[in-house]
Amino acid sequence: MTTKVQTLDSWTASRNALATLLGLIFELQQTLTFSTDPGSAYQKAEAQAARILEQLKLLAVLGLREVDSAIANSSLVQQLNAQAKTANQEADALKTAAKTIAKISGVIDDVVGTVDGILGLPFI
Amino acid sequence: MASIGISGPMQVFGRNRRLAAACSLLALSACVNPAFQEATAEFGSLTRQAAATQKQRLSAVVAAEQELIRNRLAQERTRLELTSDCAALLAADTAGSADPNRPDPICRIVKAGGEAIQEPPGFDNIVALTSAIERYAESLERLSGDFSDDRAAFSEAMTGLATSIGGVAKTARAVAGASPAEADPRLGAIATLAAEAGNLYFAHERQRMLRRTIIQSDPIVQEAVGLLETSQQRLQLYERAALAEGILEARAKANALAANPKASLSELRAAQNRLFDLVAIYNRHGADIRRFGAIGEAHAKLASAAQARASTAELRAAIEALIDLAGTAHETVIVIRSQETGGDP
Repeated sequence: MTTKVQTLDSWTASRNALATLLGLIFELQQTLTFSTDPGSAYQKAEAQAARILEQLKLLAVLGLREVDSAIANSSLVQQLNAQAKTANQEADALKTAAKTIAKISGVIDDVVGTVDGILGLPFI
Repeated sequence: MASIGISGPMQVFGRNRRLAAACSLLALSACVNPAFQEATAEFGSLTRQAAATQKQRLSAVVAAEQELIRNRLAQERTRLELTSDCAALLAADTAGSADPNRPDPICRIVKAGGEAIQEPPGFDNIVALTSAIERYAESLERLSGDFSDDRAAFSEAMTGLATSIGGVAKTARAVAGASPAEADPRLGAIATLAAEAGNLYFAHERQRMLRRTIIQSDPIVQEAVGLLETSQQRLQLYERAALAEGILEARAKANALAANPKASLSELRAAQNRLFDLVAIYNRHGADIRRFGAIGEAHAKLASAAQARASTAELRAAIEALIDLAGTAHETVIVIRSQETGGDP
């Protein structure tokens, strides 16, 4: 079963709507008289812009939480781990096969050593 | 030294086998495709980079969210209290609880009245999936990667084997009463041939395993990178929004200085420069981030390349390689037997 993030479309729509609103505020601020007075139109617009950015961050965190729970409800992590494990086992098996040759020559060396030892016995 | 050479029909047979072995080596080397292995290794390293960056970015979001929670606590002048577990921890054993059902107490800070303080998000599952894809990429790198160690070990082992076999033959001749002879130099040549065939066989096997793994994993990888791409998109929004907050702050400061006739020109220049710099950073943000979507596309290409090359020719080459190894071993046995009998096989 494919793992999907359920609210992908609505998440994108919310993000785009907030970005559009922020754009409108920036355009408005270009035409307003600058003032540091919190009651001024400029500062009210500024506060709205800050609020939108806060909302966008919240939306991002909610979206991440949603992806997190979609992953938790899937078996993807286990499946990927299993694939990685199999690939590693295959790589190990190939290494072992190469090392077996070295073991064989070690065994033959032992046999030669034993035969040499027997040859050295006084009754032969 | 007594002649232990191969002559007559067996000599022709030996030459043919060696020729066949050499041809098989060529066939096998042709189907070990270094470009495919390099592409896989490249995929592995790109994925590892993307995964590492993703984890860092997630940690940054968690840290920023925690900062936000703590700031809010201070701004609201929240009174903070301790849970009773803080006292219970004093009496807990140093080695930790032996009973998994009764873990050690954890000291927590709560609001007055016992209300829990909001925890920052953990995103543990995104981190786990990122780690899983990282591990998968590492295993592909291992399978495709540098097998020079194998090559060196295998060649050395084959030479050792030839020397050992020579030693057996020498001893066998001594037992049979014949004068001990040095190991046949041809054994070395056979070992070289076998080592080369073996090395190519292992390279071929690595490639075969690699292809199989990539083909089997592609649907899982595509699903995983789809989710990670979505999380990347959301991370990007968080980071850009945070940068935009910084821009608004810098703009407010610069405009306040511009509106203030008492502010010095250098002060204003510095504030405006800060705004220009932040906007430049904002525009550049994300350009250097390796997208999981692109990584998914690369994996899909690898999978189709792997499928296209999984042909009968490949299988035949593998069988030829095996026959080749068996043939070389057969030849070695013939040479040993000829040494044991002190004459032609």
